[in-house]
Amino acid sequence: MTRPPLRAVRRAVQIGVALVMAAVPLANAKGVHWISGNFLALDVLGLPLGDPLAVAQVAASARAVAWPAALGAGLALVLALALGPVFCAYACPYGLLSEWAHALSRRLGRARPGRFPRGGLAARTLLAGIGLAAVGVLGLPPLLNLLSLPAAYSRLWQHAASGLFWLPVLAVPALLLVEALCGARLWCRFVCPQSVLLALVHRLAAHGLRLAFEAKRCTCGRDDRACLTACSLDLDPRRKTPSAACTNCGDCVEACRRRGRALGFSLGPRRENPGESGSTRPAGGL
Amino acid sequence: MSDGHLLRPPGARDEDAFLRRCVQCGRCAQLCPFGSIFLEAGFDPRTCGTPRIDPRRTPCWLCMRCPPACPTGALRPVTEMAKAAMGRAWLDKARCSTYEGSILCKTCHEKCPLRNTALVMDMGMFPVVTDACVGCGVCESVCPRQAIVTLPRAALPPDASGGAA
Repeated sequence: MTRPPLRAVRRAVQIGVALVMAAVPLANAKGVHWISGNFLALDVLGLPLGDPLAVAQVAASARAVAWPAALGAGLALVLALALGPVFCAYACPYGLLSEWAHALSRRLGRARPGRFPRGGLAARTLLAGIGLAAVGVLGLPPLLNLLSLPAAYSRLWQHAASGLFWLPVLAVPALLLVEALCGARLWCRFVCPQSVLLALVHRLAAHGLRLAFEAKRCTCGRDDRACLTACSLDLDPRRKTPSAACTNCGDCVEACRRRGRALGFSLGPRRENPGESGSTRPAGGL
Repeated sequence: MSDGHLLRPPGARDEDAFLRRCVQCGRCAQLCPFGSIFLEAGFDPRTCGTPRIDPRRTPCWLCMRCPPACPTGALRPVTEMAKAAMGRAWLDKARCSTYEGSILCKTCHEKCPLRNTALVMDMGMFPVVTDACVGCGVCESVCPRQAIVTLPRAALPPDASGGAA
């Protein structure tokens, strides 16, 4: 039995989310109300979903818990706790565009793994931390929302539904061009503050969906690594403890399928003892 | 006119508290059945993406559907028209045709959602905006002489309630 490649499923989900979110403001204007809001705070069939960082900023600045957005942020965090920052790989429209830009730069031969330093999560965490502290101490509006590119995507369509063009969105194609020329997904790796809480909460979780690497099945050489080339975030999948920046996109698993099938996903604990095999068995395609 | 202050949807908290709470999700704008609320599209990072109303474009008809839709309480969940507290209409008597004496026009009074409390007719003829005005902007939008301006609550002097109970 052949499963559809994870990559195709993921693309379908990404494109579907992008289309739905673009349609929301127009559908709302036509009287369809089961879904409303944007990537900062969404309401689907009465269920709130939201950006945890947006709610954290409101909490810091207004010193109040913003219901029901806080519930929506909590749900997003629970999802991230169990599955990791899958929003980035499966839902974020900027992530999709950025992956396409990266694929283009690969085709043009501009993508070179290791060109930019690793440890982008630390940079993102620092930015989110400083921003959150500034918003809280100075009592500012949630200014970090300006850096939310999924929100910018939504905003474009929200303004379009009121007959306005949102000029700042032109920064996004410029950013994509820079990323394509540099051959690295710079924003997702080093800037995006919205992904930080999702990644950190998954890092803290004892159990959850994670990449599992079974060293003894790996058939690649030290420098010939299909998985490393496949990772658009320039992470090394061949680690006992997967990187906290991993979004569980599965591109490396897909690449490894044609090699030794040493990579897979598991729901095991974060740190796995290489001596005990049992839970370290990759769960195959997904 | 309003010194850069924006007319906010019904139930909005004081401007500073509103800005701290609004996550710019746009639900209020999306759920407005009249398309009255739109999101501020300018470059000001503080207000960009926050909801506003431009009465000359489309006024607020005080259907009061947006306040309960706000996920963060930036709009207090009020459902009474009289507590919308958006601002207050200001009537320029020099431009009003009734005060001017040319035509007996009652358009603002007829369209006011809070007719006879927010806008009363002095001697059955002259429109007078009272303290009960919540600043929905309907009178401004219908006035054939553009004699009315809606001042956002943030632009009002501190003693004016703008309809706040």
